[in-house]
This record gives sequence, C-alpha cells and structure tokens, in this order.
Amino acid sequence: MTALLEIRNADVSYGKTPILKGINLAVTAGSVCVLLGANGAGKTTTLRTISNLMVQTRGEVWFSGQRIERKSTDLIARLGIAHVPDGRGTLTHLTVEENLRLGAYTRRDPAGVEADYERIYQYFPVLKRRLHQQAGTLSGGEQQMLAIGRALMSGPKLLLLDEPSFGLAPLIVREIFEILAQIKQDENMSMLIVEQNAAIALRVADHAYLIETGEIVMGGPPAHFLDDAAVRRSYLGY
Amino acid sequence: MNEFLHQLASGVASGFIYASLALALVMIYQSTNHINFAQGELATFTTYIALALINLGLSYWLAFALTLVISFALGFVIDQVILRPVARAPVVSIVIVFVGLYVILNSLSGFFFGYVTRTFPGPFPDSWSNPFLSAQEIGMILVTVVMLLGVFVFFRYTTLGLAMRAAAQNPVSSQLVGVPVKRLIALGWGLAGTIGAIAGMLTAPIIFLDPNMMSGILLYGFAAALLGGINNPAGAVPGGIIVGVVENLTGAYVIGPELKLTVALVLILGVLLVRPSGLFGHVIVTRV
Repeated sequence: MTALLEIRNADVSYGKTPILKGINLAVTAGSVCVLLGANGAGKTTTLRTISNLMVQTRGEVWFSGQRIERKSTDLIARLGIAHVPDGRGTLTHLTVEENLRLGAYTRRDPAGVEADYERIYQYFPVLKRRLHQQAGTLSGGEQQMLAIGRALMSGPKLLLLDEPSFGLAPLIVREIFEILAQIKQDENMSMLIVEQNAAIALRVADHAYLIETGEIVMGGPPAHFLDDAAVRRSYLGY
Repeated sequence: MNEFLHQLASGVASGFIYASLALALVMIYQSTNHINFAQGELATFTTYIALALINLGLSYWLAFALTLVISFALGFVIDQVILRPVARAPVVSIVIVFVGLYVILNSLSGFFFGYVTRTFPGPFPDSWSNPFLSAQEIGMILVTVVMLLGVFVFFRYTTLGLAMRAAAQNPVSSQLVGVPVKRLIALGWGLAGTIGAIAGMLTAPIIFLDPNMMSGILLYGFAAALLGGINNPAGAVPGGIIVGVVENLTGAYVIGPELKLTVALVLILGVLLVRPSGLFGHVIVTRV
C-alpha cells in the first residue's frame, strides 16, 4: 500500500533546541491517522513541518509521490493539503461567509465551490445561520466547525487537524468527532489528526502513532493502543 | 452667503484631495495592517517623475500612464527591499522605517528636482470651471470618486481583495489555504503607490508642486481615513469631505487660517477618543 503522505527521518528544531528527532510517519490514502501525545511532545510541530511553517527542517516529506519539504506553505496548500492550525486560525475580522470563500481561494471551478457551500452546511448547519456574522464572535466550537469547513472548501486530498478538541466542552468535542467520522465515511477523506484527547481520537482512527519528547515511540491500529497497559494508564486514564 | 458657499465649495474640493490620499492609506492598511507615514511623500515623488516625463516632451496622458506604471513598480520595490527584511519586526521598528522612508523620499524630491515651487499642468479643460470650483478641482473630484468605487469593489467583492484583507490580518491562516501572502503584500504596495501617484498628479495643478506638497495633506488624509474608518474604503470620501469643510469653515470664520492644521489633529484625537472605528468603519469584535 502506498502512502498519501510520508515523513521520513525528520529532524526539526527551534534555534538550538531539537523538537523532533528522526520522525517517521505515514498516512494511507482514505484513512484517518491519529498522532497522540502530551503537551510539548511535538505534535503541532509535526503538522507545521508538513506545511513547511518551520525554519529548520532536515529529512523528507512526501505527498502524492512528490517531495514537498522545500515548497512554500501556500503551494503545499495548493497541492491538496488543508491544514487546520492550532487555535483554529479563524480570520476573526471577516464574516463566516468570507472565511469559507477564502478557503476556496485556489479553486477555479465556481460550480463546484457553490456545491461545496451546501455540502458544508449539511455537516455544520450552524454555519449557515451565522453566515454574515463576524467570525470572531462565534463560540469556540463554532469556530472549530468554521475552520474545518474552510479547510473542506479547498477540496483537499488530505486534512491536517491540530487538536480539534482544544478548549471545547466534552459534548461539543464529541459532536465534532462524530462529524469528522461522517466526513470520512461520506467522502473517503484522508486525515491526520493531532490530539491530546486519546480516547475520542482513537475511536475515529484507522491507525495511530504516539509521540513522546519528539520521538515516535509506538505505532499501529487503535486496538493495539487500547490494549497497552502503559498507554491506558498515561493517556486514557483507566 | 455667497462667501459662505465659496468656502463650502473650496472645503469640499480640499476634502477630495484628502480623500484621494486617504484611499492610498486605506489600501496599504487593508493589505498590510500598517499605516504608511511615507504615503504622501511617495505621492509627491512620483508626481515629480510625471513632471520630468512631461518636460522630456511626452504628452500629458502618456506621462500620466507611465507614472502609474513607475509608481506601481516603486511601491513594489519599497516592499521587497525595505519592508521585507523587517516583516517580523515589532510594530515600533516598522513605524521607524516608515518615518525614515518619509524623510528619504522628501529629501530625494528636493535633491533631484529642487525646492522651488513649480506649476504642474492640469488635464481638464477650462470650460469645466464654474464660479465655485475650477476645472481641475472638478476633474479631481470625479477621478477620486471613480478610484473610491474601484477600491471599494475590489476589497468587498473580489476574491483577490478578500485574500489581501485576510493576508494582512492572519498571514499564517491565509498561507494555509493557499494565499501567496508575500506576493499580495507587494501587490498592495504597488496599488497604493499607484493611487498615491494619481492623488499627487491631480493635486499638484491645484496647490502647486514642491517637495513638501503632501506634508500637510498627509495629516488631513489621516484624519479623513480615521474619521471614515480606516478599514472601510467607502468611508474615505465622506471622511475627507467632513475634514475639508470643517477645516475651511473654521479657518474662515472661527480660528483663522494660521491654525487650520490644528483642525486635523483635533479631529484625529476626537475620533480616537470617541469612536476609534470611525464613522463608517467596522467594529472588530473578538472573543478571547
């Protein structure tokens, strides 16, 4: 099976501080891959490495059969990687509608874009009701939905989601993960999700990795994680 | 009464001058989130370039068109060479860069073209004149209205305009959806340079050209942009008219011509104190 995305031997540092040490990670087309880990383990940095938002990177990043680690961030987005950053990256001054329209910036098929608005309102009906509201006034959960909607508007091959549960009430977290599972089922969308909330993330995952202080220490199907006593104690709390 | 009408008309005419420069300020603000203190000097400098081209024997409109191209290139180059290296610097450093740019452009105008006040040809036929406004003032008003509509439509309704606003507000998020942020900032500079050049070339026939032509106007332009709402291009013209009329009427009847510039400062201060988003600006609300 060939991977849609593959990171090979990535070393990444901030100044002299190494953050990622020899990371290897692959996402198969049509699958949901979850990267688990504690605060500061290097999860966000891994996603930022893929989008080339880091300054010092060694190693290779492959996407759809080509190397992308030297390409600019906007070009990587154009290739079909939609990255929902940590903190959701809401364009707070713009309206909800403008945020979604911006998501389709690289597209040249107006009919397809129009159809995608409707598709996104089906996943997130609340966005349709808030269409002309300034995005900064949305609740945290609504902003997360808007961020995912904006990413979908680009018609991506791969979704990168950085901590979609961040700062949200448990009920909203569950709703968002249910929608993500729905998107995967409806569209066979490939995703790489970074999460601290291991329990809920493992429910949607086809494959998972565990990262600790910049190194991948474990990888395999979700059941493998659920059966591991150490993982259960440290990350699942039972 | 007639005297009053004359003051009013002349206030409106000045208002459009301020509005045209305010539009360039709004352009830069919308595309980079910075206030360009050197905008007026850039406009003056490019107006001198137009004069040099005319003196070389080019027809007015050919010189006009060439100046627009040169101004676009100049704005673009200023961004690439001077602002790109400080893109990640704190805002104070960038303000200092703008002040430096102001002084440099002002001195370059004087160095190349001299400090003598010069006349600048006006393109509009004298038959347009009426008792209240000169032909050049009427032409200036028309062109400014057209520019305003252009800038407004660009930011409000085009995808490129939307992407420029987004790039200024949140560069990382914009890059992540495929917006080439650096290129759009350079484009914003180029367009602001062009708008400024139009403002300069249409103002110079009315108030004469010298290296400090825009110094006072820049202050009024700030007042106009702030009053109209710095994030709303459509506010620049009403903002400019209010500033022009208030300035002229208070200058004529209340405080005398010597203190006219104070009006701009009082207006700036008043807007910032009472209504920071301006009369027509969008209030930015953010949840934290």
